[in-house]
Amino acid sequence: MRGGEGGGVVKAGAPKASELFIRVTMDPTDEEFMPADSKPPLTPDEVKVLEVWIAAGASETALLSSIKGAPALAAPQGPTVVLAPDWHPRALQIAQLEKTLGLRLVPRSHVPTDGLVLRTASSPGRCDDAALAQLAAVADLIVEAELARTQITDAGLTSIAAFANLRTLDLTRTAVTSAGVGKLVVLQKLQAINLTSTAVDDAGVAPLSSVASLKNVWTFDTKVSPPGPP
Amino acid sequence: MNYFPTPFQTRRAFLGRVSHGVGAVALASLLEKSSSLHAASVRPAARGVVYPLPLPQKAKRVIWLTMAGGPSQFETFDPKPKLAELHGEAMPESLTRGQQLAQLQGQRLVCHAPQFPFAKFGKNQTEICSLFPHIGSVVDDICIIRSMTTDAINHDPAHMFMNTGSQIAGRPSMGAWVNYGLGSEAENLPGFVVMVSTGPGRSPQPIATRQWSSGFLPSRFQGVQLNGRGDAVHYLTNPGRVSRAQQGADVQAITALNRQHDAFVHDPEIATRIAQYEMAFQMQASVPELTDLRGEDARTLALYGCTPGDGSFAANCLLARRLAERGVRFIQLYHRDWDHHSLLKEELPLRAKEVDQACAALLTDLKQRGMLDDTLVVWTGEFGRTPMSQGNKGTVGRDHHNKSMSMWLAGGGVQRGRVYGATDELGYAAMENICTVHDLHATMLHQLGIRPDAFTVKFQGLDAKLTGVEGGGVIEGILA
Repeated sequence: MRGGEGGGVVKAGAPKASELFIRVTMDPTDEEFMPADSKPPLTPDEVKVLEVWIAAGASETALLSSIKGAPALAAPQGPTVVLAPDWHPRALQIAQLEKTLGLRLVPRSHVPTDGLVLRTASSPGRCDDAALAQLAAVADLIVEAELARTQITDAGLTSIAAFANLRTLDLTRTAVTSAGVGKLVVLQKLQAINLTSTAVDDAGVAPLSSVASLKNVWTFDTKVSPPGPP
Repeated sequence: MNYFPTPFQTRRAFLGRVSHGVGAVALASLLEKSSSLHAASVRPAARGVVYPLPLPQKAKRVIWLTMAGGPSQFETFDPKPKLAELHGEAMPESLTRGQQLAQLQGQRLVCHAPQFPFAKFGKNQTEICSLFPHIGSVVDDICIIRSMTTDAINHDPAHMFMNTGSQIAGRPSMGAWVNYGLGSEAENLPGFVVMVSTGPGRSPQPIATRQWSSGFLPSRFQGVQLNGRGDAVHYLTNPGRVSRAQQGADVQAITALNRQHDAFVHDPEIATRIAQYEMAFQMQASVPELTDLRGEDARTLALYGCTPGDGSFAANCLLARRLAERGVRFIQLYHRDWDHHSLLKEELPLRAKEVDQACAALLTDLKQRGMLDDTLVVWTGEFGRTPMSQGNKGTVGRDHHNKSMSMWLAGGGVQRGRVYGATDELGYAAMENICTVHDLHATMLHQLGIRPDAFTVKFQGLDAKLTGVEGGGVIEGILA
């Protein structure tokens, strides 16, 4: 509550003169509107809480229930599932990798621990084993890897095996083989793997049965035998 | 910083540029603290204005199957035995009094029985018209909405409403909104592609290109139409003695001139032109690869039931899958000639046959390739049709209708094997879980990771939204 260059954040007793209140109630398209970056605006109830709290003197100790006119807020939701470490501290590195490799590393959502999606659809021809090898510094941030139609081979799967938080992996129409797929069994969070139109066969997918988290394996247009009748 | 306009700038360009400039500075200073990722030099078109997304994406792309003309729900997805019982009798006036009708205004209103039997399909024994056995075979993968409504009752405004959320032309089409919001994934194909097909025989209403306009958004977001027959894009190949290198040099030179001019007059449409020259050059290489179906095996062609290049809806469905694989964000296929004021019994089965197998094939193909989970497929007309018969246009048919229509969605985080909403017993009006076009738009945006109520663009003093002034509600009841 120390305030910034523009002065104090809260003027006790005067919500309409408090920067905090002004910022969350101004025209949402205004550059100064908070929360920024298209994050969801506060709900009317949350705004009301701020208003009555400031009006009542902006006490740091008073309980909400003791403030007259305060709306009852819904109980906060359970803790968000952390899919990967916060990517923000490595933002510069991510930007540099996007630039040099011509790949995209996209936050899944505005939640910083929702991880990154590795995207190559813009130009799959640029993504090869060498490019994947350079992603080591952000390996634990990647939760989805869209590698369909890229140039990667079994050698690249060694890099992918280090994507410890990977949940979804698309290898459609790549040169990976049964020999390489076994490297992926270390990915204990993997939920879905797409092997459509690859040279993988039954022997190749067999080791994947040890990945307990795995729910979907697509093997259309491969030598993998179709599943028997349920 | 210097904000004085040069005398060569248009007022609009100047104002647009200034607001972008200020915004960009503000944004840059904000981001310095939180992250510098935004400053990365990824191709600018790749990143949309909504970044990072407020919600994780359930759908990464959309394939919208538009049945132009307005298919009858009574011969597709809404069984109405009571309507059959009352066939030929007067429509209860309690339903129709004071209502706006298209071509039946002032006529005697008579119940018209569903013209084809319905049958039960799938695990859930979902009842749909027996003219759609292939869709029946995948009915456990789709979510039928029987309570859709729209505002418009004439074709062009109804399409406009379905595409842009406004009956009046000039708003951006949804494909433009989505690419503006999310950015375009493919580097060598447009982010919004449109294809139009027609069955053999009759000549139905045309679909105007304004249906895939970018409206007030920059024109690089507008839909690009590919032809299903002949060259997908006219004049795609270079003339005989022009090599790709020469063509590339030309484009480069033109781009350099355009950039020079842009530095002088600051018109955003020049940036669009530069982008379009570059995209066209890329497409000279990417489109032949896209439309070359030699890599598709006989099994796949048989699944869709098409001959490559025949311009059929089925062939376009196969191309839609190929576009989706190549990173195209929004694909819209129109199939025309569903406007059965007359010849309902004769013509509708032909349309059904043209799309039934192809729709099912698209879903099956996406599913077996692991793409259905993150592709949202939508099947709609622009409006529904009346439970009353129309006999003033030759043999019997049904008139346009906006109080009830049926549609379906599949994939992209939508429930499977679900029927949502219901109409009254004669199918005149949606009664249960009534949905509007704004709701549909809101739901689609939500599945794409965008908050529909916060996705706005300043236009004519308003914060314009795809979901309109009144807004739309996400149809939570159909989400997985």
